[in-house]
Parts: sequence; structure tokens; C-alpha cells
Amino acid sequence: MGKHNNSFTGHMRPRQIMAGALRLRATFCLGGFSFLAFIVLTITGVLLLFYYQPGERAFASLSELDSVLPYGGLIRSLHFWAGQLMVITVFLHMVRVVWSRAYRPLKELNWLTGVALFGLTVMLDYSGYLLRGGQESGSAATVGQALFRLLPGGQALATIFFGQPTPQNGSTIGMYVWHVFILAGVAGFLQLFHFWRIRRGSGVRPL
Amino acid sequence: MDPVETDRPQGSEKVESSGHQEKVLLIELQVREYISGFLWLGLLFALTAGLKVSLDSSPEATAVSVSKAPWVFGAIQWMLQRWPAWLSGWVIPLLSTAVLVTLPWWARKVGKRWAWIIFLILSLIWVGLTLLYMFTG
Repeated sequence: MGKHNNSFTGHMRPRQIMAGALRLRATFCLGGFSFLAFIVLTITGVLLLFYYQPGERAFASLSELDSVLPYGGLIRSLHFWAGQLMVITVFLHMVRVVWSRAYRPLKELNWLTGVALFGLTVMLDYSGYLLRGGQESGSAATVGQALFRLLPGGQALATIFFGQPTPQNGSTIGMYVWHVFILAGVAGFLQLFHFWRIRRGSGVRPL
Repeated sequence: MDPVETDRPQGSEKVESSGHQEKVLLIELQVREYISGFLWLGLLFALTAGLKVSLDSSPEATAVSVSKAPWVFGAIQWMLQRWPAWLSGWVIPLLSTAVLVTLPWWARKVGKRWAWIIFLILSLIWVGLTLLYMFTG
């Protein structure tokens, strides 16, 4: 290894950090908890992909996964609870950042990235809810579509985002693609960028 | 200052004092991260084991009479039930997002304490409406 390592990994995991960053109240580990939730969501999500079928079969495939497949219910529950915990920890992380004024200059871009990540987390939670494929998901999709239609060109936007769900089933191929690939992919990329920016800005600064 | 890796020997807890900020080896943080990570995973497994995640109502079933929104959209749903959709579904959420995005600017303009107060009020309103919807909506 050379004397200096300016690589991505070197920035993410430097050998030394500020001593104050070790204090629990410096971060409350909330950013780490959010990322851990994302990792659990990715692993359980990939496992769910093997059986889940979006669209008309969504509810039936989840029902079978829950009751027939070994550990299917456990994996679905882990996915659900990790998603709920992620929304909460990302929000609490944001509260901690504002409290410790970590949005101040040099970290403004990271603040913007964090706000975008919070929005993406909420959208992932919503799209995951729609993929459950039952009547509740159909109602939630109907409300979302109605809101999109208020915008100019809203019908087209609603079709791009929601596909064509029914009031009894919010699960569509389109929503599946958004949830599994686009939203999750962008969230994953932004998190890595977020961590990299934190290290570029000398890591977590103690209060 | 960029975090730059060097080939210093590992082993001592406090390896460098740079200016007024003392530095320690990353492993000190990693140990804390692993412990908290395991605790967090414990909470996740406890939730999974203790609270069963129910399925939605079947699309084939007779239509459900009451359908609640996902809790993350509880605040918006609470407003949608009372105010016009354009206001509840777009204007208020977008204004709130705009306040969040411009928070660093607000901190410079009105001071850090007021930026905190603005953020706190905004958060309390959204969390309050979410809880209101979850428990009464």
C-alpha cells in the first residue's frame, strides 16, 4: 500500500478519526442504523424477489410465501420492520444533524443528499406498501394517482409511476420496477456518496 | 482536511494529536459500530418475532369499508380528509421540503437557534399529524 490512499475505500474507512466522534451523542449511530436497515432490506428484498410476483398474482404470491414457504413469513416480516425502522432512523438522524448543526458550510451538499435520501426512503416505504397487492394497497394507489392527476400532465406521470393499478390491487410491474431497481438503486448510490462526503469533510465533528 | 491514510503502526489508542482535535484509530469506532449494530439487529428480530405482519385484505374479498393509509403518509392523509387535495397533497409537503432544503440558508439568515426552532416546529407538526392519524384517523 502506498503512503497515501486517496481511493474511495480510503476515504470511507480512514485509519484515524477525531476522538470526539466516538462519543455516543456525536451520532447516536443513527446514520449507521439507517444503512444497516438498508442492507437488511436489500438482502431480504433479493430473497423475496425469488417468489414474489407483481401484478394480479401479488397478493396470492405473498400469501403463499407467508404460509407455505419455509421462513417466507420471517423474511417478509424482516423486510417490513427493517423498512419501518429505516424511515424512523433516517428521520431521527436528520433531527440529530440539525441539532448538532452538521448542515453548516462544507456539509451543505451532504445535507441536500440527506434530504433527498429521506424523501427516497419515504417513497420506498410507500411503493413497498403498494406492492402488497391487497385492497389497502389499491386504495393507497388510488389516492396517489388522484394527487398526480392534479398536476399538468399528471395522467402521464401517474401512469409512469403507478402503471395501471386497480382499486383492489396497487401492485403493478411499473411500481415493482420503481421499488426494486430505480428507487432502491438511487438510494444505495446516494448513501455511498453521502458517506464519502462525510469522510471528505473530516468525518463526524463532535459538538 | 481530507482523511488521508498513512502507514502508521497500529496498536495504541491515541495515535495523533492534530491541533486541538485528538485522533484515535478507526477500530475504536468500529467496535462501537459493531456493538450497536448487533443491538439494532436484536431490536429488529424482536419486532419480527413479536409483531406479526398481516397481509392486506384479499383483492377477491368483499370491498373493505375502512382503509387506512400507510403510516408514513398519515399526516398527508389527515390533511386530505379536511383540506383540498392540491393544498394537502402538494403545496404543504413541497413547502415543508423547501424549508428543509434551504435550512443551511435559513441558519445563515436568521441564526442557528432559529433554524433549529423552525425545523423543530416543522417536525413536530408532521410527527403530530402522523400520530393523530394513526391513533384517531
